[in-house]
Amino acid sequence: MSLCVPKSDESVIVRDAELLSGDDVVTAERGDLVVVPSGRPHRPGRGAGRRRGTPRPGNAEKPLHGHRAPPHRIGSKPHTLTPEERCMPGITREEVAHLARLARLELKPEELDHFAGQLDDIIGAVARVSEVADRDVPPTSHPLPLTNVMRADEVRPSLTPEQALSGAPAQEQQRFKVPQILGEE
Amino acid sequence: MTDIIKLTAAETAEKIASGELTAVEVTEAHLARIEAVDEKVHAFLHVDREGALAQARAVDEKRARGEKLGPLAGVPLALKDIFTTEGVPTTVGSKILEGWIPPYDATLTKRLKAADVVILGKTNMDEFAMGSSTENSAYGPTGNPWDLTRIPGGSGGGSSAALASFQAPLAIGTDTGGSIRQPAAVTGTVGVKPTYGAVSRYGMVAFSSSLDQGGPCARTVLDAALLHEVIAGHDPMDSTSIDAPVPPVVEAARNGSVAGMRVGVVKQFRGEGYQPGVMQRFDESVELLKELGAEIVELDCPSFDLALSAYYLIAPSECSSNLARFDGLRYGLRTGDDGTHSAEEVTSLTREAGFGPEVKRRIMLGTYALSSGYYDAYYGSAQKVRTLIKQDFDTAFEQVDVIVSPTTPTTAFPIGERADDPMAMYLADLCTIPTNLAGNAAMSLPCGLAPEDNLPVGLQIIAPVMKDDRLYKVGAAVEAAFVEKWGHPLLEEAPSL
Repeated sequence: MSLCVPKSDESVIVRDAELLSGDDVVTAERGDLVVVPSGRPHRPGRGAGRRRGTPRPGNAEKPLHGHRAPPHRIGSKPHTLTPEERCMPGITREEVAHLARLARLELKPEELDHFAGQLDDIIGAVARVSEVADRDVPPTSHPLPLTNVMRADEVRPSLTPEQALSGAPAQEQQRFKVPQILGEE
Repeated sequence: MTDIIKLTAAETAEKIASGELTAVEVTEAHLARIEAVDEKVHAFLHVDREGALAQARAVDEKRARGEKLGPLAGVPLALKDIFTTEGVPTTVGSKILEGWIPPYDATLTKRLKAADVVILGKTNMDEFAMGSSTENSAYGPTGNPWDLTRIPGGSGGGSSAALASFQAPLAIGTDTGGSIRQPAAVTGTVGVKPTYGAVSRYGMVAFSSSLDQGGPCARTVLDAALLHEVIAGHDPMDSTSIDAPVPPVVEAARNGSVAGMRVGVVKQFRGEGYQPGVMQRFDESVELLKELGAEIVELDCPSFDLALSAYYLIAPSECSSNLARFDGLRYGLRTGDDGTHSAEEVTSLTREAGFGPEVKRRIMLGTYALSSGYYDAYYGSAQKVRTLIKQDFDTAFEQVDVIVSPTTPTTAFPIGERADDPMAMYLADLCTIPTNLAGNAAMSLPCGLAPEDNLPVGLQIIAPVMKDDRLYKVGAAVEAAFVEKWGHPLLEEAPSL
């Protein structure tokens, strides 16, 4: 059961419709932000931290809209920064605004300035992990080697409609009442 | 009254079982203590006076009927406000869940109730457990009972402060990067992060699902073990719950010993950024372990240097995904629903109004790290680091039975000092994070006061996956030796509030 909220031509958020269940997102799967390329023009990649000479973005054919990585793949030589790029901050106010839009955060103008500096510092520091990018090591997404733990497909007690709706900001006819989702055409 | 609140959980349970005290008396004594000191400490977000007294009365009735009582029956506990409690508010320290009353109990809450543990209320925490100081709570900071102008650690600062100020003998925390152990260290209490999967996450509000782990907090190693045994165990409602018997933690805590054990000291856990007094107490602890019959082995775990960086990519990535569920549509806060905004705009306005700065920072950091073009360089590399850390632990545990380190590089810092400097704040978890990434078990227990500031220092003990009992065996031996050396438990030296 998931709820898809389409957002223009760029992206959709696939939401986990369960209420805080223990069986929630383990890695970026359900509830993830799925970004669909829009094909709009972009500036040359200016990934934060890269000015410190570390990460090598890959997967260039699926750009994050308006924030695309330079056109080279994992395993190729790191993108050489132009002097102009080196002078630029790793993550700009505009890029923070874009991330905020993708993450559905209606940030205030002063927050954009504040977060741009902080995110730049953090990304610059954590970019160290790309030291291992070329090492032949399998990734670990989870501490336990579990796959698809299933329960028996049996009817079991669950919340009543009243309980499930008890926290709803608005409800009508035993349903969650939400603001308009699709535009009027 | 004073005597009751100073008892350990084990002593309290014994006195209730023998009839020396009633559960209602014990609960009332703690409620009175909360009334007297929590205005200053601010450990609790919600005190469930009626619920606690009802639970206590039920215990006394059980005893009157001649029913056998469990090992913690009637003992009060402070529950971190991240676990759902049916009919009792659960906020996760966030405005986005202000006023939310969960329609169900977390598995952990159910287990506590089934064991007749009396839940006094819900404790303060960094919003969504993101932080190391409890300053990120939307409901104001908590003071460290050793010095109210300093942080009690985080994210579980409410739980650690409640223990250190004798408002409860037991508490529950959750540990994603150190949120049980670091608060324990800076308040002179005991905290355990069990092996990942040991304690059910069902009904525990998710932050970073592959790292989050609930665990016991207490003032003694034995009390932590008794609580560990109550909350751990397989839960079909959590698909990542381990389906295996709980390690014999209580037995280990009752038979503390390090004789003949090999104890590892990792060379990466010292150097720049470590406070001299913290390292002094740590080195003395290593000497003490030697005196108690342990063999000390130097270890090299080079990947640990990358742990903090990997963590601050993995945890925000999982958080950006998990917190997508807070959309203002089904429960919690809704802002801007005035008929002029679409559902999507309402979601954005709600999240803007409901989340605090650290949560927004991490959501955006995760969104960035997972975006195509950056995924391989950031999230992908962080996952490789995770593998390397597991391998370093595996190699280490071929040579040693447990590893010891300082729990946190410094003692409690002043409230406000790192509040707007995220990277400085993140350094508080330098020594605790590798364990979360690898999934194994760790404990923090007090090992003295740093000479320069007279604030508590924590000793971290790390054990392999599912060898949680080793933490208690070593912890109990170290605790007994320290209490003998000091002449009393460390918390006796805390100022009276």
